[in-house]
Amino acid sequence: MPIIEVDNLTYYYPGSSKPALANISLNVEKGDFLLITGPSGSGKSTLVRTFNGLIPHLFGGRFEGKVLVKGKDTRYCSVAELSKTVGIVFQDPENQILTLSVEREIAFGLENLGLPRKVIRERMEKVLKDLNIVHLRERIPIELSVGEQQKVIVASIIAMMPEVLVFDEPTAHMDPLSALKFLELVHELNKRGYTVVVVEHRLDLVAKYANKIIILNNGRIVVKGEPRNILPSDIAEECGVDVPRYIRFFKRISNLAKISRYPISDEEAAETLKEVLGYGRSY
Amino acid sequence: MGEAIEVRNLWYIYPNGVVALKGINLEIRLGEKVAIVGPNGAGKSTLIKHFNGLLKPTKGVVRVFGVDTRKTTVATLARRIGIVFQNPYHQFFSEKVWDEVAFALKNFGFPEETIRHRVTKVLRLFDLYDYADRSPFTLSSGEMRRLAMASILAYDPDIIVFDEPTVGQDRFHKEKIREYIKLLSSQGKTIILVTHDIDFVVEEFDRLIVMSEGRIIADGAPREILYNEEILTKASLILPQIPRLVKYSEIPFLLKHKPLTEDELLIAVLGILRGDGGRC
Amino acid sequence: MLSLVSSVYEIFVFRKKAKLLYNIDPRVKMVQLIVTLIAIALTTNLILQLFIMAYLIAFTVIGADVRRILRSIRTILKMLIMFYIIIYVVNAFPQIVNLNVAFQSLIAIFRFFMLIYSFSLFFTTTQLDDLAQSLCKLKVPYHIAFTLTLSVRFIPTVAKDFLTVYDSQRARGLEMEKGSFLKRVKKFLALLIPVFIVSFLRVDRIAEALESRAFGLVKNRTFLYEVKVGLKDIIFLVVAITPLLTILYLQYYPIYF
Repeated sequence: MPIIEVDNLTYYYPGSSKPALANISLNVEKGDFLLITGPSGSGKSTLVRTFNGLIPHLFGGRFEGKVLVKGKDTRYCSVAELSKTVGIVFQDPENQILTLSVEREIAFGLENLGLPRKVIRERMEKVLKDLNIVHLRERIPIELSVGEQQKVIVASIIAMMPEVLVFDEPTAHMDPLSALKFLELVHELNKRGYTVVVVEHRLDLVAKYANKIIILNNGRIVVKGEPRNILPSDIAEECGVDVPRYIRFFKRISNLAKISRYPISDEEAAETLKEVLGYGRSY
Repeated sequence: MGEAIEVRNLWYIYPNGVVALKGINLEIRLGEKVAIVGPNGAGKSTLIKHFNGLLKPTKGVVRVFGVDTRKTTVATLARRIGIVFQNPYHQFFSEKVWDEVAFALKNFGFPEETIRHRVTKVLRLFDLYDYADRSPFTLSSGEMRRLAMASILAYDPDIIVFDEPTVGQDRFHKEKIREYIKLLSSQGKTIILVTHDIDFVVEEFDRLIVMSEGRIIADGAPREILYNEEILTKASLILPQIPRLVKYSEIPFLLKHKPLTEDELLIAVLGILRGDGGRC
Repeated sequence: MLSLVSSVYEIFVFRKKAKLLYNIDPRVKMVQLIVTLIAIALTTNLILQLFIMAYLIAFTVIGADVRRILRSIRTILKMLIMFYIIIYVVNAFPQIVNLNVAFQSLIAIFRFFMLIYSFSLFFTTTQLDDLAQSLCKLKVPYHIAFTLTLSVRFIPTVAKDFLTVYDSQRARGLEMEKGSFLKRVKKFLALLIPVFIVSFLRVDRIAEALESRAFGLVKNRTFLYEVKVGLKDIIFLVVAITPLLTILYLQYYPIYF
């Protein structure tokens, strides 16, 4: 059974006559790393907000079709209930930090679940260690760097032990190096067993980690599949997706040199380039 | 070409004691296209706020068109230096798109007739003329960015500073922004871009300033800086995608050729494929 | 403006220190604060007021972070000096020198200063979450007590928004200092409207962050650290209250002044 199942979902924000999402169907399986991308205003953020019931519960609007989280219909479960399965990390840490100390930020969700103090403390210690932020425990979150803040948010979500971690443009406010490190962390979490859904523009840094990609445009799924097959397609380009430069480059020389397989990372791109130019591998 | 901006040993300390700039020296000539990059907290925003006097030096001097920024007002400086800030929501307050664009023109005391003429012209340029009577808040995120730019460009400043114009924008909007920058540059405007989007920089800019921890650690042609290991390590920069590919491939010819963009790599590779580039 | 905001923030924000007051139960400190405020309100005698000040300083030195408190009241102190001058000028008018007014205004301002100082002493040493928990134990619903933490949390954010808006509008030639009163009010809207809109947008984002972390799911939420009144707190309370009660006693039964 897929962990998240979206079945023919169409959604209108309150007072809007244009659907924000139209006829969306998709499955997220356990262990997936699903990458969602598309131009601005295509409905990416709206889509991920249906995964834990924020849509329709918090925002209202017209909701047709259904979203099942572990078989449970989100329309009949509260956001708080669904948060135990699906944790979302949003774009701007400034709007997600709710307390005045890192420890309490991490404990916040657990306290709200009403867990025993001992359990809260154990889980807090564990995520502090797992994410290498033990040294930040007494700091005031808003006084940290954006990268650190977002890590604290991740910690506070992981502490609630969801099975799916959703990231809605988590690196939008970070510089490239912090973004790179953050996306490596997301990859690491996926390897540790979390199912991951990421909305992201920086495809050159993240595409290599994903096993599935969905491109949205005007609230519709334009194409879905494996990043390696989807990104070189013309349709990705036509939607305004920021296709990695190396893929575009190999597409441009593909009529001159045979490209057997499009690369999906810097390393692969370098290998492909050497192949094309007839340079032997280094071993 | 004359000096547009001159910064001499600029130090800036925030009221809370944070030392944001530590001895910046910089000259930007009229008509130049300059990109400023560096990690968050490197002092980029603090630096550009000195250009129109929003911040005054704690120590050192900033001169704009020869005038010391401490000896004049923000409004006087802003007339010649437009800064387009990152988040349009931090500036929109009018009921109509038209008024948003007219705001600065009114502040600077332009006559009615000129205002009408300028607003019409700039709205047309930015494909926003049809929205003139709409509320700015009904626009899409890309349109809002364009409106923010229009509201600055309407009064025709000589220097235009863009603060992270491409953040969160898809490729179509990035292309549009690129076109506007090209156009402005061809009109002789001085362009200063503050950004994390280094791929955008290498495709459009010929001077790169790298900041780190309140200092300028490199200032020059992107090609020289981005193929210099030492600077890269110090700056905690990520390479643009094409130089990254070249670096990983370790192909000597390309490393020598130092391509920065897809087009440049294409030319170099075609050279090799045709056999006139040599493989050494 | 910025320094005033950061000063207000510094009064409320808690930075952990291994000193006495930081480890006292918030309820006990609340009682101490209330008695202090009563003492400040009721004493009219300058010498007794100086005693209260000495009492506050003693507690600062023994149990709190002196530098923190100084930093948090610095800007407010500057404002009080300004107020003092205004009050003096208004009351002494048309005279220029009036020692009696000078003295009376000084006492009024001094009281106000002690008031702020006591609050600063309380808040800099009390984690707001613990205070919220104490309020919960006093039967205040959690979602109301929590607004305290949340509002302090957002002081710097809103201040930053305001400054960014101010910068953006000044960069478009807005000059607040110029024009008639009506014009200035209109100009102020150019600052207020964006700040409001940005804040409204934040409300939605904060709401979804709260929802996503199960805010309000169970009635009896747990707290990471439980506040408990122990023997130490009782002793503290006695030691803290006695001097104040003595001062109050002296106010009403003056022995020799």
